[in-house]
Amino acid sequence: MFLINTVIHGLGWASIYTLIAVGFSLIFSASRIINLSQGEFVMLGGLLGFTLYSLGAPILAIPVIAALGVALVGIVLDRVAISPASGASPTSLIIITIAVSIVLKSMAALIWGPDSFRIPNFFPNAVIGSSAVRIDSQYLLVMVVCGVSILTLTLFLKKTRLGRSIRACSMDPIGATLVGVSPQRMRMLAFCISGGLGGMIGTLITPIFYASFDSGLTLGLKGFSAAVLGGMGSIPGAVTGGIIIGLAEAMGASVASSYKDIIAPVLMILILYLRPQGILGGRT
Amino acid sequence: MRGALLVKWTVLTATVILCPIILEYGFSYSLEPALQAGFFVILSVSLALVVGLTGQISLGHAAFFGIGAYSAAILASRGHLPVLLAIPAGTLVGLAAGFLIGYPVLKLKSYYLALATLVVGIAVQEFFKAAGFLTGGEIGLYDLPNIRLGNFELSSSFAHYYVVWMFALIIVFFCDRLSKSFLGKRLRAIHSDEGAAESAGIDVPWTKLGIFTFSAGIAAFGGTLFAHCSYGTIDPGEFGVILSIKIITMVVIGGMFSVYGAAMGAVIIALLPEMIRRLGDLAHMDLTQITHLQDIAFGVILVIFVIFAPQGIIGKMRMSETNA
Repeated sequence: MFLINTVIHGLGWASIYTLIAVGFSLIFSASRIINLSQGEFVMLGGLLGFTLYSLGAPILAIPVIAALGVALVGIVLDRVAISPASGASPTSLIIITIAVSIVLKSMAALIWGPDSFRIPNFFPNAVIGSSAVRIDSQYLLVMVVCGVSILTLTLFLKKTRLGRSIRACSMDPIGATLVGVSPQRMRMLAFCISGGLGGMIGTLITPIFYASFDSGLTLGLKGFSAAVLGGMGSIPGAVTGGIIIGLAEAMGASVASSYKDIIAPVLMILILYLRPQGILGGRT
Repeated sequence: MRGALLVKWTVLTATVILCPIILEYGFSYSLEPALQAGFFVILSVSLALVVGLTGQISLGHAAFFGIGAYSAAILASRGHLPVLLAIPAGTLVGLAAGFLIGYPVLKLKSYYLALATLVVGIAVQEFFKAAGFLTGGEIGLYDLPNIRLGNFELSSSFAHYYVVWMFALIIVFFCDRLSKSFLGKRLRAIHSDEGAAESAGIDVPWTKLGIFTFSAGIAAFGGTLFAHCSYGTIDPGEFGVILSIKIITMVVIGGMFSVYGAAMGAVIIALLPEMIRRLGDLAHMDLTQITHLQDIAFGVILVIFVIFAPQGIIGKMRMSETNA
């Protein structure tokens, strides 16, 4: 029974890490940029969600409004910090996104202060199941939302014209330009969607994982490890990586909880050394 | 040339010697930012060897500073080793860590290297937090002993300042000589083209590993001084991503290629918080708000430099010289 609870718990976190990883992968495939401020999108979503909740917004509208708000942040970030630097080396761009994440984090600290905030579960009966197997309803919601989002995003990238344009940029930016797709526009779109995804997941986890100005780095790092583990730029890779990190952490936490946060970085260092392109990644 | 070098160093040394006296008796300022600047110079110059000269990015340099600080502090406070022995021992641990981390990580290139070093830095910090039995966990270690020379204890902030800056100047001098030596030329060759360097008979992997290890050793030495020649407290928060990024910023501001530039960048980044603090005081902000304002200013400066002046202040000055 203990094992089942651990696994369900782990899968809940796996969905969260997967969604963060998908945000990374989307920007990476549209522009080859590794956006280390993805975690701050999640943090902003959580804090925005709390503000909306305290203003009395209906609970199901909160994730939508927060997602729109953070999507806007994503667009601004692209225009202000990334666009003027296009043509800089990949490493310079990484440094820029880290600097942006420091700025976002400190701004959030100035606006919301140092406290942690929590909103209640989205559904009234918080715990489902018998005394042996207990599932927090919020974890279930996160898993469902994760599944739906991944399906929608995959369909969007495969079936729509806009989605195919993003994939064209990831395969060959110059070729894409030749057929009339603007890589700059697609990069902005990717930042917008990733911001939206981050904002949404940020509100969904606020009932589980308290939102505070400094929660971005930890979450971002784990989602990012998931993306690297599975293979940057691929959605199935993000899912694989997310599940591995979520489960490994849940298992690890039940053995030695103080070392829980080292698991993701260590897995990432191992995969970078053994197979830098990730588990599902092709040859680079 | 030799005469110019002598003049340069006389002025530099005189400034460093006079600075605290003027600050303390002229303006009654605290020596804290000036001491901080000394540590930053050591870190910045050591990273300039790896990033600027050899072209290998490292976003986890704070880890070596932390490893040096913690090893010396643990040996001195829990192992009761004299501080004068704990300092070289901590430096050795840093060298070893540099070798062990550099060996696998330096095989990676471009952003894979950036990520791996970033993650190593985070993992080391998490280890400091988690291994409470050694490192004191989140609280860290305190009441660390000062350096003792016979019966004389170096406990005043003046003594701390002069010891740290003496070593900082020695390190700047030595690293500058190194960057202009035969070895420096090899490192530059690796920077511009690894394949060409290899075919010219340079053992690229070992040279890269060698300079990375050396740089980690200097940073760790800086860390040992930080533990025993500063406030006598260390905690994991001080050795995080933000410090690593600050060190990169110093090197970027200084213009990547120049050791003196890196030292100048370090002084600027050390003095920036003080200026922001004064601004914050004018706006009646409290201490934590000012800290966040400092981080925002620092992030904005980094973005501006990477976008508009990737060659740094020194590079900008040289460019205007050649254009004129």
